Amino acid sequence: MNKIKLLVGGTPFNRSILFLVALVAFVLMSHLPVGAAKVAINKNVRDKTPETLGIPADGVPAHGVKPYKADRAKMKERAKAVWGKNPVAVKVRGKAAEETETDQAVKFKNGSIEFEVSKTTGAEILIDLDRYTKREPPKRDVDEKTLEREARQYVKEQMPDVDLNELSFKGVKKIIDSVSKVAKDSTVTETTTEIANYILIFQRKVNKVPVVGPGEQVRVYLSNNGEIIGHSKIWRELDQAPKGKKPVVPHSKIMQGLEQKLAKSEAPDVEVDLLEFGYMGQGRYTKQAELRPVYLVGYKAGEESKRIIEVYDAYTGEEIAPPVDPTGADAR
Amino acid sequence: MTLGLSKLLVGAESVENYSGCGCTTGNLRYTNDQASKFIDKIDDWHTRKFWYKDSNAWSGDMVENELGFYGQDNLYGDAVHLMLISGHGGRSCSPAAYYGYLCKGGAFYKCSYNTDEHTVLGEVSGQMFSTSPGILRFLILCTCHSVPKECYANVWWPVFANGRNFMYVMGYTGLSDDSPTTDEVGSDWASKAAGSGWTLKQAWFWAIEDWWVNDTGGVVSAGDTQAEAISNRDNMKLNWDPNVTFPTWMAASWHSG
Repeated sequence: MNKIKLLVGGTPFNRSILFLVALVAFVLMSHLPVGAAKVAINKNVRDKTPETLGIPADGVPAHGVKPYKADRAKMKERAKAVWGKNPVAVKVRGKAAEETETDQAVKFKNGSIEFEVSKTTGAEILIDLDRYTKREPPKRDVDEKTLEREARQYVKEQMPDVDLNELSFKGVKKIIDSVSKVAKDSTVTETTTEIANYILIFQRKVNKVPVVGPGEQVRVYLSNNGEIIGHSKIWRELDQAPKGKKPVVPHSKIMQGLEQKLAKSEAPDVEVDLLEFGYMGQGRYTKQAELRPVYLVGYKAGEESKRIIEVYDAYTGEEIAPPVDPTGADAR
Repeated sequence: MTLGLSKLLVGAESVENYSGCGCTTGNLRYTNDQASKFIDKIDDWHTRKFWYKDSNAWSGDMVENELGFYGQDNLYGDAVHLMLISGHGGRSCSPAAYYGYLCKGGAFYKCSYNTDEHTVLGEVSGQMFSTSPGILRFLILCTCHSVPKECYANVWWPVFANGRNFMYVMGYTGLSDDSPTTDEVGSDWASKAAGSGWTLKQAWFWAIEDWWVNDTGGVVSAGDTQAEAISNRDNMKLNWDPNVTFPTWMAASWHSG
C-alpha cells in the first residue's frame, strides 16, 4: 500500500524521477522489434572451442563418396556370409532364407531374423525380431565396458569394410521396460523398471573429424544378457584421397548470426543448447556424392518446444535451408 | 488377437507455422515433412482419410465432441484407427496430463488440448460419451513429452480406461527434435509396422534409432493383467484387435542414454 502511495503521490522531486524512468523505459521499448525474444546460450555451447568441436586448425577437406552399385549377386554373397558365420544367425544356420525386394532394399528373412541391404548405399540391417525390444530372463550380470569390447570385436569380425581406426565409440543407449499397477482412482500402486536391450553406438571419424547425421555409424544391438542380437551399419566407401583442405567459417560467426535471427523470434524465450561440427552423413537410403563439413545448431523455445536443428555449410556459413513445405495436405 | 480389418483408416495432422494461426509456441520446420512422408508411405497398405497441416490442423480435432468444449474428434482424431500428430507437446505429472499443440480453429479455438480435460478416445457403446463412439486404436505423437517416463501411467491410464478401442501410444520421453534427420521417422515406422509386420514397439524404436539425433522414443499400452499389459506393449501389431476390458496395468518402454 505504501509503495502505491509513493508512486502515485510523492514530492515533486520523486515525480521528476518517475517521469524520467518512464521516459527511458518508453524509449528503450520503442526500439525493441515486435516479437523480440530473449536468447540464452547454454553453457555447454558457449564453452565450445574449435578443439572441442574437432575442427582441424589447418583446414578441412571434403571427401568424395564412391558411387554404390547395387549388385544382387554380391548382396546374396553377403547374406550367405551372415547366415553362415554371424553369431546372431546361429539358430537359423543351414536354413534357407526368403528373399524379397522393395523400392529401397533387398531383404532376406530367415525365421525371426531379418537381413536387409539398401540398394542406394549398401547399408545393412541385421536383427533378430524375437529378441529386439524384448527382455529375456536374466542369466548374467552385464557391464558396459565389456559390452563395448565385445561389440568392437563383433564389428571387426563381421564388417570387413569398416576401418576400425575410424570407428569411435559414442555411447550406450538402452531400451527400458516398465510396468505399473493402477488403482481405479488412477493411483499408481507399484512400478517395476528393467533393461530390455542395449544399443552400442559407434560414430565414424574421418581423420579425427566426426561424422554427424544418421549416416556413417554402426549400432550393435545386445540383449539384456549382453548377447549380440543384431546391427545397423551405414558406412560409405570414400575416395582414396580427400579433396583439398579448406578453411571453415568460425563457429562464433555462425552463433552470432543465429542469435541475431532468434532475437526476432515470436517465442518469448529461446535457449540454444546444441552445437556440433562434423561431416554430414545421410541416411541409409540416400545417395551422397561427398562428405562436406557442417555445423549443427539446436535451440528450443520453452519447455514444450521441440528442439529445432539448423544445419550450416561450414565452408560458406550459409544455412542449408529446409525443403520447400510439402504439398498434398487436405483443405477444410 | 488378429482382426478382420485388412485396411485401417489413417489420419495425420501437423503444424510448422504456429505464428500463422496466432499461437506463440515457436515455428517449426520439418513437422509437415514428417506427416507428409508418413501419410504417403502408410497409404501403400492402409487408407488415408486426411492430412491437415498448419492453419487447417486444429486442436479441437482431438477433443471429445460430447464434453461440451465444441471438440470434433468424432469427425477427425477419433474417426480413424491410426493417427499421427507432429508438432509441439508438453506434459504435467500433477495433475497428470499430456498437452498437444496444434492450431486454433473450428469452435474449440485453442492452441492446445490436453488428456486431463479434453480427450476421450476409442470409447465404445456402454462407456461414457459414446453416443458417437470412437474408433482410434493407435496414436503416434511426434512431439516432446508424449510418453513421459516419470508418469506415463498417470498420464495415459485415464485415456485407456475411457476408451476400450484405444490400444497404443507411440511418442517421445523428454525432448524430440525438429530436424532434417528426423523427418523420415513416421515413414520408416510405416514401412516396418505396416510393410514388414514388425511389432509397433520395434517399428517405433527402430525408426527413432535410425535417425542420428539423440531422440528418446517411448511407447505405452495397457492390460487387464500385468502379463497382458506387457504382451500388448511388446507384441502388438497393426492387425491386432482391442483386447482390454478394463486396464489395471500399464506397460511402457523408452530409450535412455
